Amino acid sequence: MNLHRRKHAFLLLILAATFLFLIIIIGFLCKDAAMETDFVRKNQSPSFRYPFGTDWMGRDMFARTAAGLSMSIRLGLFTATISAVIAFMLGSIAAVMGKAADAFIGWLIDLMLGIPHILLLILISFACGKGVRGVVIGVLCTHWMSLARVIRGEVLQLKQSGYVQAAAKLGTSKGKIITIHMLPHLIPQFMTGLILLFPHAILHEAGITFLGFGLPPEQPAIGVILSESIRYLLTGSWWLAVFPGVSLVLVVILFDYIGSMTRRLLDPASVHE
Amino acid sequence: MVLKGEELSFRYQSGGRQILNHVSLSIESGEIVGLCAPSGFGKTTLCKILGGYAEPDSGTASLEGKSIRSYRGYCPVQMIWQHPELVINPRLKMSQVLAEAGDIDEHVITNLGIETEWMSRYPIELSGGELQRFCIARALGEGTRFILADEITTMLDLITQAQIWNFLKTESMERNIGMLVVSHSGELLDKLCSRRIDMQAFS
Repeated sequence: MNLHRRKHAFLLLILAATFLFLIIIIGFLCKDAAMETDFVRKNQSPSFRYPFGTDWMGRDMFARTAAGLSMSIRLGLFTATISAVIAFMLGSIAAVMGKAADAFIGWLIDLMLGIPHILLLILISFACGKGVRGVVIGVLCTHWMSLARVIRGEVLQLKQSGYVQAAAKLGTSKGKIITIHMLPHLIPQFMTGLILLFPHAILHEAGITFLGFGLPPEQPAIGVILSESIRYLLTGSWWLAVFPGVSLVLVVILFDYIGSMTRRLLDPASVHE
Repeated sequence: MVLKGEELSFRYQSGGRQILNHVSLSIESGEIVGLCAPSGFGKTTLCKILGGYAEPDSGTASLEGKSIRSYRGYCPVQMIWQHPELVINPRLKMSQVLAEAGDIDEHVITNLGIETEWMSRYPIELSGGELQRFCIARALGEGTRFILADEITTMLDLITQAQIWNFLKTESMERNIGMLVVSHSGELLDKLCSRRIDMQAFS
């Protein structure tokens, strides 16, 4: 990318990140408003006062959506970061610690990938007593595999690469080879993998909550909102599902965009794009 | 000093083709030896073993009686590869690439035709021939006693080839560096080398 487009991309990236950060803040501020019920204003369609409308208990849907998204983003950040760290460690261990470790971790990855994602998530979340704890542990256990595989492959390739071998012959120490030849290649992979894990984590959190195995019903969460709104869609309350659903999709797209932008900005091969 | 390969045998996979079969050779300090053979005869493999990049299945590669792979730190035998873009880290600037080999004499850099402005560039911003000069410079660090040049000027134009070989020849004479030159070009080897090893003779 040339300098102009680089700057442009960087600005957009900051903008997207700020927007997501704002949602977290707004969600915090809306926490009490999201719980407030008032039957005088129930089932109102979107208006200036209530941009996302109100539900059958007279709760402000904008506040509920914001609080739910904020919850989702925080959960997503937390679980994606820990998953990525697990992936990085297991991937590196598989590549560096010899055949037995590699075989074991490879087997573990295949095993975990072999079970349908959502099934495993439901099982783990249910076994851990649902709620925030269940969701967090469930998402943590099911999202590290593909990144671990990428990191393992990358480390193996780096170990075999001509410049790492040449560096050893030039008398560069092991520690220095790791810091100047390996980490600069691994960190962009890690960052991109981490950011691209967010949307997965968020969608799965909403998914199992929707199915009733995740966050408790009193929590303003996107999954809860969507599953409750299904009953009211037939009576014409379309806004109950549309606005929270669209916001969720928007947040996911933003994270995805940030992920791919980060990759392009960190990769020197894209200098000439 | 003598760089010695004794009874070297090598195959890439067990049961695979025998690339090297009891190959022996020795190179003295200050001597320039040519190595030629058709493609697939194990020229690069032999260089990799002599440079300590690969372990032979049997036989030994040694310098002053000490196995090459047992040298720690800067290896006195430096190999220059056929494809420079594979042995240079794409994420380092060229100045950092050179710095890895310790202090490189200023005259090496100027005689190889490396321009100052290339130093602040990334490898992707230089051509193959330009990168190769960095690889050659890097292999000429202070501790170098032997150079293994594996078809290093194949991608260069004739004038640049002549420049680089002239420089390498005088440099090796001045510093008493032994050289193994791998090339398909018989004329180049005739001009450069005091003797020639034909690998076809080994098989």
